Amino acid sequence: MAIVPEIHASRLLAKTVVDNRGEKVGQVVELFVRTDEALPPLVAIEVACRGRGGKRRIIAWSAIQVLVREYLSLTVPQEQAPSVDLSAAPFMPVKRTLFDKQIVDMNGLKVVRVNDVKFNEIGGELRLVAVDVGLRGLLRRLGLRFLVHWVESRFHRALPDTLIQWADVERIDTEDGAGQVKLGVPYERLAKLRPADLADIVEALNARQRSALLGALDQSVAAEALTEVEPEVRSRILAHLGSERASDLLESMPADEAADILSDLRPDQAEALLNAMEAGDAQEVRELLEYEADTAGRLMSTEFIGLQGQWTAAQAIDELRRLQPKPDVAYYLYIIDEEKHLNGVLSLRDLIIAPPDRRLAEIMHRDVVAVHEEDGKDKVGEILAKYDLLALPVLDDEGRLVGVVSLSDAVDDIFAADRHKPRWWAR
Amino acid sequence: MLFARLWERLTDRLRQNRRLQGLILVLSIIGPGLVTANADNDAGGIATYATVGAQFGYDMLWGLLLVTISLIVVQEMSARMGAVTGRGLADLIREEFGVKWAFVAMLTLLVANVAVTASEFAGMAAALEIFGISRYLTIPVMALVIWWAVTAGSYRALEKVFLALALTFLTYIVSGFMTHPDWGVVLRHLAVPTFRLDPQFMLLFVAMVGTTITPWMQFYLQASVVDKGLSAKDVGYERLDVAVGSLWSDLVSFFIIVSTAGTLFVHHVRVETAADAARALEPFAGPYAAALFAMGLFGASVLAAAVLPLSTAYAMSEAFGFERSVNRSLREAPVFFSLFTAIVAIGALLPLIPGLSLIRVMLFAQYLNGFLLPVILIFMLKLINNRQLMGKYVNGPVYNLIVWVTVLFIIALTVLLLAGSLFPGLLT
Repeated sequence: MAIVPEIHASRLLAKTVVDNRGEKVGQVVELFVRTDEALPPLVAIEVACRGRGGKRRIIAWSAIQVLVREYLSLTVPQEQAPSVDLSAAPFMPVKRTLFDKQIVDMNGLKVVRVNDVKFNEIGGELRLVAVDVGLRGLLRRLGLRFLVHWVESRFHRALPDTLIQWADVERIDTEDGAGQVKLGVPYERLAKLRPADLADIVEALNARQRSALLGALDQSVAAEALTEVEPEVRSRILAHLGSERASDLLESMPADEAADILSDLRPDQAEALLNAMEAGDAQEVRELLEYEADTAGRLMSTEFIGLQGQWTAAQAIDELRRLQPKPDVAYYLYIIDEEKHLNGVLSLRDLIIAPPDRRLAEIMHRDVVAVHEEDGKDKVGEILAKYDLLALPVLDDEGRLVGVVSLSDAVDDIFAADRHKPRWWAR
Repeated sequence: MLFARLWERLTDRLRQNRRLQGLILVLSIIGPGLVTANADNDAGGIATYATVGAQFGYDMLWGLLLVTISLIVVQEMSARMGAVTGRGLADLIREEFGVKWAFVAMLTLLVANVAVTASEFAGMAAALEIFGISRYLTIPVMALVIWWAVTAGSYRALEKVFLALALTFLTYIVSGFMTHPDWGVVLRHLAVPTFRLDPQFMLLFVAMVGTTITPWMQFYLQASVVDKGLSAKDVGYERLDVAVGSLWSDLVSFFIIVSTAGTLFVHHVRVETAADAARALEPFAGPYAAALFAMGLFGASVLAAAVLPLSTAYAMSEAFGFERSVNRSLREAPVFFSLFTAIVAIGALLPLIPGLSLIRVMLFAQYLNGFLLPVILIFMLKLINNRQLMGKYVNGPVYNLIVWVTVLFIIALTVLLLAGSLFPGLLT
């Protein structure tokens, strides 16, 4: 087996294979690595045979003896060259799956394009250690290596070799299925990212990769990431995702987020997705969409904690344990009657420091700062800022509690409204 | 032409109003095609059509008609590819053909677009020379303004002003009628081809194709279709959009040729400066023709000079995997910003070379566009007939025929022109 300290896939792919008698076998057109190891070893090459017909054959890398200039020589006559059964283990064609494709750099959390792939000799085997995404790899692939030397000798500066370690590479598989065995949880590492980071990556992928990724991720993870994606990119994603998957994602996010997303879509797209959603979820979203844009009603979340005034503090805490609310929902507890009229408010702190047998009606604050559902977002922002609140209850004409605008909703929709600059091309 | 772009802005505004949304639906999908088709009449376009009309009268009108058909087909392909794949042209070329072909395509695009950017700066300079302002003042100042407006993200505000300026080119339609052409003759020239084995004629023909169907437009249109989130379902609307946009744009081109033919050609005036070209508006605007023409030329040139370097830098970064977006900082996207800056700088420097005729710079860019167009068209044909990518949305035989005829016709003209310059006397 031919051993070199390091070599790039682009150099191997250019080589001609000869057998031990010096007869030409053909050109290397693909490299196969086995992906069940952390650093995948090179196990086979695909050779396009010379002559008419252009037959292709798989030859085990173990049969390659030496690597001389543009030749790879076999240890045996070509008829006896051993093959490898590519269905026996998870094998990956390096050129087809990596070359020119976009991958996710899990270390830098960026989407980059692969120019070349680097193999190193480790423990007697050539292993895939890194992908090259930099200018140097690009020039090498273009056959412009002399340019690299020229630049380096001219400016006395080494052109950086921009490598991404194989361990940090996440590949988004867009190949359509056939024979691909998926092991373990798909995109495990991506799923563990913060939603906002995942959203940045989703934005940088192309449409096919986005659909592949969002289709394979756990529904709630995908939904959370989607809420963080820039609005204009979001409508593109939903359009290409297909209404079934898209409506699933909308169902698994809070109604106000879903309403937010749908209001950015074309009306026909939005209507199609609403129809594809489960009736109950869709109804909730439709109600929110009734509110004019930029009103408290549109901004608010319909998830809040409403408690009865006659309950004791201990009962209320038990109820919280049962509900297991999200952190930003749990800051304020609203005291409401049967018809949902807002009577008072408690902070989580008030509740916890209160004696367990105290009734909520005795410890609640009756002077509640609230907004009307049709109040504008500027007013909401002003009040939140003025009273240093973490959330603001939203009431309808009869004083019933219909929702809550949390500070985090406000940060997204009011204070960071100009966070997304328009794209440069005409919309 | 750019009228349609304003209309689109209006529909965007209206879209915010929920009650009108149903009505606006169709209009909002009809958009990217209109915009790009109308950006055709930039500085180079005006210079080309004006020269065509001044030098050969109505003789090339049949060509414009055929080019329009080809334009509709090619633009429709770009839009369809964007809608079906959801990916940009540069991305598709890189992934389907590999790094070397991507390099060929990007080099083609870069050369063509640097030339067109130079023609836009030449257009601005020529426009302001009518008011007696030196090009050595106009070009550096405008290069800085454009660079700053785009990188600071305040391009949007400026865009409206220049769009309004560019609208003045609609007056060509009025002017065309006021030259009182013999419509029978005009129609005959539209229908009956006149061809001359004259290098001037063939070169201008290539320029006319190159300025009507530009390489950069295909990248830009596909990017904006992708950006709009259109999908395969919208292909029907896209067709309509592209057809309307292309017809609208070439209608203006048609009237530019008709009015220059009726004013300059009959008096044997060659277009040597912008002031000459402006005379085509005299039937309508009288003594104000020059000022009107200058305004339109200036507006159209500035618009294109901002979009071209950006779309080039974007496509190249897409192909080679560099961080790309004006929303990123210089440190985050150094290659993108360097490319953008370099294209603006080179485009601005070329027309500053002393002694160059600005009209020649504008025309030269269109020749180059025409000669390079087949490269991009062949990539597009290969991609759009790839069933793995396009599924049932591959080209039909008529489409393929039209585009191949376009490609082969340009190549044939190129070969003839080359032969003619190698063996003078071959062509008369």
